[in-house]
This record gives sequence, structure tokens and C-alpha cells, in this order.
Amino acid sequence: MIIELTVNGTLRSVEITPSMRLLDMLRNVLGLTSVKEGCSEGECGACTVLLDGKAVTSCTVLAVQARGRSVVTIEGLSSDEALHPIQQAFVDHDAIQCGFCTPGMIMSAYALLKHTPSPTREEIQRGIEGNLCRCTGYLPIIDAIEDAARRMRTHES
Amino acid sequence: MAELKYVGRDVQRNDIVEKASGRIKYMGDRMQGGAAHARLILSPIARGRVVSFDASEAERMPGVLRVFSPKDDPGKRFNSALFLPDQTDLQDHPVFTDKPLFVGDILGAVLAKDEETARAAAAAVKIGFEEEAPLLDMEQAALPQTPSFREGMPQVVEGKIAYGEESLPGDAIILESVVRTQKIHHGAMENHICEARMEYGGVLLVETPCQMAFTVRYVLADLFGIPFNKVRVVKTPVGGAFGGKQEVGIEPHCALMALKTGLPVRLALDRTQTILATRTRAASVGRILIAADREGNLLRREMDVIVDAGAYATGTQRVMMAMGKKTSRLYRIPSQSFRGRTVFTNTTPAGACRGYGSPQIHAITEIAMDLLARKLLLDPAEFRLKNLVHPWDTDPAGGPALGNARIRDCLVRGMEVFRWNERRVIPSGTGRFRRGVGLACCTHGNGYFGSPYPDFMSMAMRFCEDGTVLVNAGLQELGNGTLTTIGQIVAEVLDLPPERVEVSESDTSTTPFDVGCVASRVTYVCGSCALELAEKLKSRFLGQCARVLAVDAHRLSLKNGNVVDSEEGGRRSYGGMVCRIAKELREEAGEYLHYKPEANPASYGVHFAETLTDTLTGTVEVTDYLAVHDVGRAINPRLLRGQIYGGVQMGVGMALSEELVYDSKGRPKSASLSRYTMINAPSMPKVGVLLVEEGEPGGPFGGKSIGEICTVPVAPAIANAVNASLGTMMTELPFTPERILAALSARRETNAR
Amino acid sequence: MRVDTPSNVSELRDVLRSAVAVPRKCSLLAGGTDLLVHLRASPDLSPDLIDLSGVKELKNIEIHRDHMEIGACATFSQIEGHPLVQERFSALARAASLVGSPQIRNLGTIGGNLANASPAADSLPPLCALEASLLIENAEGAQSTLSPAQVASAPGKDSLHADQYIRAVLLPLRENLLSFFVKTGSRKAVAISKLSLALALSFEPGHVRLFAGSLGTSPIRMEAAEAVLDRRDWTEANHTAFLDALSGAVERAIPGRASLPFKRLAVRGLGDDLWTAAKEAISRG
Repeated sequence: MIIELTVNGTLRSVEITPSMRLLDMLRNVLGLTSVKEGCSEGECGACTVLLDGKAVTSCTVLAVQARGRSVVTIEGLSSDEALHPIQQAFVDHDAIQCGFCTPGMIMSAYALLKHTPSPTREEIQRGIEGNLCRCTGYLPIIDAIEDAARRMRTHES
Repeated sequence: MAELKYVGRDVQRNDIVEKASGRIKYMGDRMQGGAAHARLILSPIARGRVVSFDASEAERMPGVLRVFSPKDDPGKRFNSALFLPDQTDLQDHPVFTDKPLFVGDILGAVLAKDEETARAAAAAVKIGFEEEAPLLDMEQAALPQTPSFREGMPQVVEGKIAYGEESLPGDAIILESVVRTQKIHHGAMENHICEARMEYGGVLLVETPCQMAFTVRYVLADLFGIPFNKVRVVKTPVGGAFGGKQEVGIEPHCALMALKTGLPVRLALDRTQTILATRTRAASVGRILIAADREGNLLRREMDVIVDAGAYATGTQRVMMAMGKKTSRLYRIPSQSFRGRTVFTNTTPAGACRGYGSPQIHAITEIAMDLLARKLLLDPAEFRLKNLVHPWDTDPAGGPALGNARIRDCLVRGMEVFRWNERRVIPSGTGRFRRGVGLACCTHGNGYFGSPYPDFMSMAMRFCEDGTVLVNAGLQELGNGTLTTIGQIVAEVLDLPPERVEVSESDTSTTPFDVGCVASRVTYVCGSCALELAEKLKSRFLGQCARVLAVDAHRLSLKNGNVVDSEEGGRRSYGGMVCRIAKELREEAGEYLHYKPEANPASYGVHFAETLTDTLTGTVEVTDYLAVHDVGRAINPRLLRGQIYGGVQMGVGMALSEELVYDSKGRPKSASLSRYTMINAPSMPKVGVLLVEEGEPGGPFGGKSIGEICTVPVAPAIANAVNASLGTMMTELPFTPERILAALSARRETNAR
Repeated sequence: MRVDTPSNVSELRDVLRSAVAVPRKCSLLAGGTDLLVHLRASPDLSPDLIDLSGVKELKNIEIHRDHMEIGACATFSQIEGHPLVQERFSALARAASLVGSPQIRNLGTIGGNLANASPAADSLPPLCALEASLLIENAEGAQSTLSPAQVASAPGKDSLHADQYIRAVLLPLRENLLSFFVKTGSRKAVAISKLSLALALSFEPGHVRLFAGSLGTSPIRMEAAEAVLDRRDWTEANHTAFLDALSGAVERAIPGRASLPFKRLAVRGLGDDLWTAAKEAISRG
């Protein structure tokens, strides 16, 4: 079947199968391979994308459920030239080691900062509680998100 | 030493922008198509025999290319850790077995045109079993009367290390304890995956996110009887490893399918399969006896440790011996004995895991040290200070010299920063929540030198026509910063920005030999090789420049990408000189180096933890943490701190929540991330880092290892804090709420009596 | 496998009618956080799905004269963040905030949580404490009600007929009602509950409902502990009596179970949390 949806701001028609997960559609049909599969049960957050502005684990959503809706992956955050302030903060704080959890982590951070532009450290920890990272111990990630929030506020004002 | 430009600085990780943007392609990110997709069929029973294997339904499914069964096993057995023929580890591992020895043992596979079809078809294969009762308990497995469930193979493999007098003075204060450490899943976020195909010239190409490409080549060539130079193993980007991708894992299965079908094969595991069918940190039970005099001077230690290999030998015997070898390198102890027994059970195979036995043996010894300190009425820190090794001590068990061993500095400075003396005497309270502090010391190595395994590597290094530098090395970046660190060292010597140095990863057909990104050897061994080679290249390049310019070489130096003539004052770019050398001398500005380390000093660390325990629910929160490490010199302090944060995180999991447990039939109860509890952001404590940088001879710019040792003392530090705050003597990891409440109940009952 | 995606209740009823008529094996898909994982783990099951996540009437949270109606497909994020749920049914808001992670709370629905009927479902104990009932509708639009415990009585499968669906959760509005939810799991956040307690009580003595989750297939009412609490006697002795009553209830609920030694103690910690919260709220007035 063919569904229409908006992916990273562009309206797309995509051929899917009924059992296809949103994760499979993004990776295998649209080639958006930043979206990673780590646990297949919504537990690790590596496949986090935004669905109508809200962070979801794309391994627990059927592609057909995204019909008519809007999906944003990390490919939609930055242009070829410039990183998004959250990505830049991750770079500046060395919040990345193996990098496998990074896209999902950044999408959770993005969703958090959208609704909570000045989060406390505890709010940041809870904002990324559904994203597992085995390398960094989260501390540089929390620093990066705190810093990104600051940068985005300054940028906007 | 002149001030350094790049070493000792927070140089940005080489691939971080690619990773931040999500553009980096891990193996699973290659577009589907072009390869056949394989799905493993795993045993649902812990021990028994396949009596029927009916693939007819699967074979009828459209898109299924072939079903592999135990009949496709090549017959020869391999050992996933072995990399030279003299290594005596048992070769007991089949590719596809008809006698499964654990839940997750690999019986066969389905090859199909896409992943979904392979998944569905694998589920449609009907297999009949004759089940036998599994052997799950490692202490039972160690009993002499327990028969081996592995035909013709020993049930126990023993090793011993001892030195000094066996006798104990009559007035010694003695502590005896039994400490248990659990089986742990590595938890790399990227699941296991591999691709294999036949290339032009009959070369088997295997691409894999691995830590030891040359070991993969060894095992595959040996197992399939292919000339070594016809097996090409290429390392791909790794989404976390932690030792879980050190031993050969699914490469034999993937290669076998490619060899048998001639098709390019991608074999990908999901999380449950990765937990069930790869490797784990070995569980252990350590009986320990420590004797000290009344002042707290250690007199003797005896350790009898059982290490659970799981169903196959893998590298667990090495892990067990590595545990023993750590025990003579932390404290000055006049006499000691270590007896280790590797035993087999019908559980997931163990193998390498960050620390290679160090976290286990240090949990055993450091928890026991605190219990003895309590008995001696001594401050655990003061007790350790009386006994810790000094710089330049030797290893009484005959291991390599300890080098500039700065553990005492770590402890003394850590006590001050953590305010140990002040915090230790604060009462833990009498209410529901109890606060306490604890610490643990540790040591780890810097490579294989002095072990049965040879440690050496080679590298090539050359300037390109634009003055950039290419380092051709068989390295493995795992996210730990290997390539960045090596690049910094080269940049420092050749005086050019690190981003102009490109460091390669392992490709067994094109890069020189290296053992692997294992054994905490990269900084100390590979870094030293890079340093020495960069100096050799610098000298050759300056000589070539001198000949081209017809001046004395001693007038020339390298400065920020330019060759500078101290008399004439001219500056010529590296690239320009490389081109002139090519044209005028017909030479490449390149060098090659064979490097072998002649030492294997010890790295050290002390961790301090503060915990808050809820005595009603049994939950523990780590409320403050300080990690102090003797690193010789931090090549990249920011990357180094990153290693420590991650090491602490894994250690907190080992201390409090991570555990692979099995039901009575040997079925894992935690074969998914919702049941296997790794630490997430809300449970991660703030971590302070304090570095002792006194320089290690033989290391690049004085640097030594950090990546493994930083996870070693975490569990005992936290355990000691909890025991101190509760007055308990818990020795079984992890300290789950269930165990904490059980210990508190037991203590109440004892007190009531 | 076929997936129907009705966008309103009328379309949903059409789909259900045709599914029952054939008949074919159908599963209702709400948030998908449990069902899709379950289906993926069992490739031999591939039921047709009826996706409820687009049915707009099922997503509303509305306040009526004497009750609140929470659509079955309201997500935990919606419930957690709804000011009136927070004000009138804080135990439910709290439980919703402790379900999974933000990603799961953005997808997971209260109806799905009930229909999946896991003993560890965090929404059940507060719903029992808050005297909720479930509004069930069938393909013809006929309505009936069930208690949450009835739906949860069979773990992993619900007690609805093939043409029925949960329309909404109905919560009676009581004046001066306080409610609390506490749980303990293997981790501070994102943890399957090992044990949970939900308490609802009025300012004045006379109304107390206390339920424990993760002890059995459906929440267990702790009546003896309720009676102790209803004394509104905040002395140390009564506190101990309250905790003893909780332990006693756990002992009666799961005799001989391997988890009993832990749960009979851990319930005291959760009970202590509730005690402190209730005492503070009531003495604040």
C-alpha cells in the first residue's frame, strides 16, 4: 500500500507493507539510517524520531500509523553545512563515543527542549531516561543538552 | 620537555561530526539488497540433542534461499579467542550444533532475500529435541564427581599462581569470605552483525565490527582450511564493543554461508539473540582468606576462585588466569596463593568483557579487604595505605615490573578531594535512609608483554603530496578514541594539526599486523609504536629535505606544517617538499616500523562512592562519586574522562542491577533490555575525576591505559559503601533490593538473638 | 496481515462489524508499545489489526458533571500533563508519569495498558483506588461498563468480545479526594514495577481505597491497611500498625512465592511514602 506523510518537512508517498514498522520504513525504504535499531521493544531509544512533534520509538509504531502525519529524524535537524545547536553541543562536550545511540539521544533532547527550553539537570535526565547509552555515562550528554538549551535561548532572544 | 601542542589537550574526536549528524554508516546501515540476509536459529533448550529438523515449510516460503541445519557444520571445532597455533585453549566450538549446550546455542540459519523473510522462515523451522537436565550451578560444576556434559572434554580447567611461605603466623587476624560476581551482558548498543562474500581471486572477504581483525582471520582460515592470504577481514564502524566483539562471534556462521552458497551474506542479530548467543562477562565465586597482623600489615592471602565459562571454552581460561595475575600487583603481600578453576555450565558462554577478569577479582579482593578492615577496627583507607605497592616495585609472582606505580598518590589525593576522613566518620543514621562512603583500589595492565601471548605490531606512515599524513595501521576504533589518540601523537611529533593525520583501521590484507584493540594495550603499545615511527619518519623526511635543499639536515626542523631552515629562515610546506622529494629523489617520504614493547607496567585507580540506601525498599542510590586514576599522562584529557564516566556507568550496573539469570531449565530470564537493567540517565551519579600524571616510562609521552581499569573498582567501591552504611557483610553482586532487604533481615535476626 | 485505520468511531464500528461477520482474527492496536513488540517476537501470529490510534473520539479527556471521561486512546503523556487529572486524580497522573519513558508515554494509551492486562500495568491500581469503570462499546454502539479488575483478570488477554472495544475510562468526581501512587522497580526511572501502591482517600474519615499492583493478575485491595489509615491517627504506633497491615496483606496475597520475602518488606517502604504524603496533605487541609 502507499501512504503519504511528511518526512523532514517534505511530503512523501511511500510504498509500505502492513506489518512494516515506522523504523523499517525510515531505514529501508527512505534510507534514513540514522534511525537505529537497538532493542526492538521501545526500551533503548536508539530509534527515537519525532511523530507530530513528539518523541516516539519508531520500533513500536507501524508505518501505516504515520499516514498523514509528520516525522522528523536527525537528518531533518541540520543542513549539510551547519549542525543544529544540540548537535554542536554534543560535539563540543564530547557527548559521543561509539555514536550508535547518538541520533536517538539527540532527537529526545530536541523534543525535550521544544517543550522545556530551560530544563533543570533532573529534567534533562528524565528527558533522556528512555535512551540508553553504554559508552558515555550520560554526564557529557547532560552537559551538552544544558549547554544547547542555553545556546538556543540566546539564539532566539 | 618542551611544551606540547597536541598531546595533553582536548583534541576533538576524529569522527564526532559524522556521528553527531547521524551520517556515519554502521554495517547495518548499508542499504539492503545486494546481499542475502541470514537469521540464526537458536536452541530453546539448555541441553540435549536435535532429533528432527524440519525445514520444509520454511523452504517453501517465497524468498527463502537456503536453510542451514546442523548437517552443514564443517565438523572441525574452533576456539573464539585463539590467534596462534601454540595456544592451548580448548577447541570445542561448533558452527551449527545438533547437541545444544545452552539456550541460544546456534543450530542453523535461514538465508533469504530480505530480513523479514529470513525472520519468518527461521520461526517456521520445526525442530524436535531430546532434552537432558542442564548443569547450571558453577559450584556444582566444579565438584569432582560432576561429569562433563561435553564429550571428551574436561569439566574443570585449573590454574595456579603462588609465591612465598605457605604458613600463617598463629596470632594473625584472619578474614574468610566468599564473594560472588554475576554474569553480565556487554550491552553495546549495536547488536552483532557481519557480512561475508567471495571476492575476485577466490578471496573470502569478511567485514565485521570487531576488536581483533587478525584473530577473526586466524579462526576463519584455520576452521575452513583456507590459505590465510585468501581471507580478508575488514573492520567496520563499531557501535560499542566492551570486549563483546573481541572474540570471534558470528563471523564463522556468516562465512560458512557465503562459502557454501557463493552469495554475499549479511548476518544480523537482534537484541535478544545478542544476549542469548554471543558472550558474557564470566560469573565467578571467590573464596578468599586474608591474614594481617594487628597493625594491619598484610601477611598472606589465599584465593580459590571458580570462573563460569558457560557452555564453551572461549577465552574464559585466559580471563581466569588474568584474574590471578592481578592479585600480586596492588598490595605488598609476603605470601599468596591463587587457585582458579574454569568450569563449564549449560549457560551462555563467557569471554572477554571490559577489564578481562579484573572487575571480578577486584570485587572479590576489595570487598574482603573492607571486611577485614572492619575486623581490625581500621579505616579502610589507612589499612590500604599500609599495604599498597610503591613505584618501581617488582611483581613477586614473576610478572612484569610495576613501573611508575602511583596508586599511593591516587589514594592520598583522592581522600583529600573526597574528604574521606571527614565523611567516613559521619554516622549513617538510624532512620529509613542510610548514607555511607566506600572505596576500592585496583590495578590493570598495559598489553600482553610478559604473558603467554606475544605483543607486537607494525605500522607504516607516510606524507602525502599535500603534506597530510597517512598512518597505515591495523587499529580498531571502538568509540574509545583510538584513532584520535594515535593521530594526536603523530601530529605532535610531525608538528601538524591532528586533523591532517589520517589513521587507518584493520584490513588484514592491506594493513600491517596488530594484535587488536584489546588488553588495554592501545595507548601504551600502539601509541608508542606510532610515536617511534613518527620520529623515524621525521628523521627520514628531514634528511630527504636536506638532500633536496642541499643543506645540512641539522639546520632543518618541522614547524606547523612547514620545513623551516634555521639559517636561511625559509619556510617550505610539507606538501611542497614531498613533491620535490618525489621528483628529485624518486623517493617516498614514508617509513615502516616493527614495534615490540619491552615492559607492561601497571595502571592504577581508586574510586570513592557515597551511597544512600532505602532500608525499607532496598533501593540504593549512588549520590556522589570520585574516580582517581594513575594514567601516566593524559594524551587527551577529555576523551580520557569520557572513558571513566562510561566505566563508572558499567560498574554501577554491576554493583546494583545488571545480572543474567536463568530459570531451573536454563532459560535466561533477562534476555531483553526491559528485563536486563542497565543504568540510564536518572540513575547515573555525578562523577568527579582526578588524574595522577607522573609519567610512565615506555608509554607515549608517559601515557598508559584507562579504558578497562576505569570500570574495575566501581562495584566493590559501591558495595563497600553500602555495607558500611548498613553494617552488613553482603558479598553477592549485584546488590539488588531483594538482596539488600534479605541482608537487613538476616542482620536483624542475628541482633535479636 | 491487514491493518485498518478508522479515523472515527463510526468507521471503527464498520470495521468491527465486517471483521465479526467474516469472521477473522483481529487485534485492536492502540499505542502499539506492547502489541507490536509481542507480535514481532511471535512471527507465527499475524493477526489483522485495527488501529485505534487515529480514532479521534477515543483521545479526548473531558470533564462531566459528576465524572471525568478519559478516552481509551488518551496517551500517558496526555494524562500525565492534564491539569484536571493532576488536580482531581493525582494518583493516575503520577502513575502515568512513571510509565516507561517519554517515547513510550507519547505512544502508550490507558486503554491499551488495560487491555494488555499485564500484572505490572501501572494504571490499574490507581484506577481501582479511584473507583474507575470502563465504558465498553460494541460494533452496534451498545454500551456497557466493566471494572478495571474484570478486564485485567486474564493476564495478557482482555475479557472483551470480538466486536467490543474500550471506549473510555470513567472516573467519578468526589469532593475533597486525595490520591497518591508509588512504585518500586529495578531502576529509578523506566522500570517495570515490582510493586506499586495506589491510595485514594477523602479529607474526612470514611473513604479510603488502597490497592497494590504487581501482586496478582489484578490489583489487590488492602482492606486492613485502609481501616488503619482511616483512623487518621498519625502516631508512630498507628504508623507501625499500617505498615504491619500492608505486610500482612502481601503475605496473604502471595504465600510461598519466591518474591514474598522481598515484597512483604518493600511494601512497608511504599506504605511509608504514602503515609507521609497523606499525613502532610491532610494536615495541610
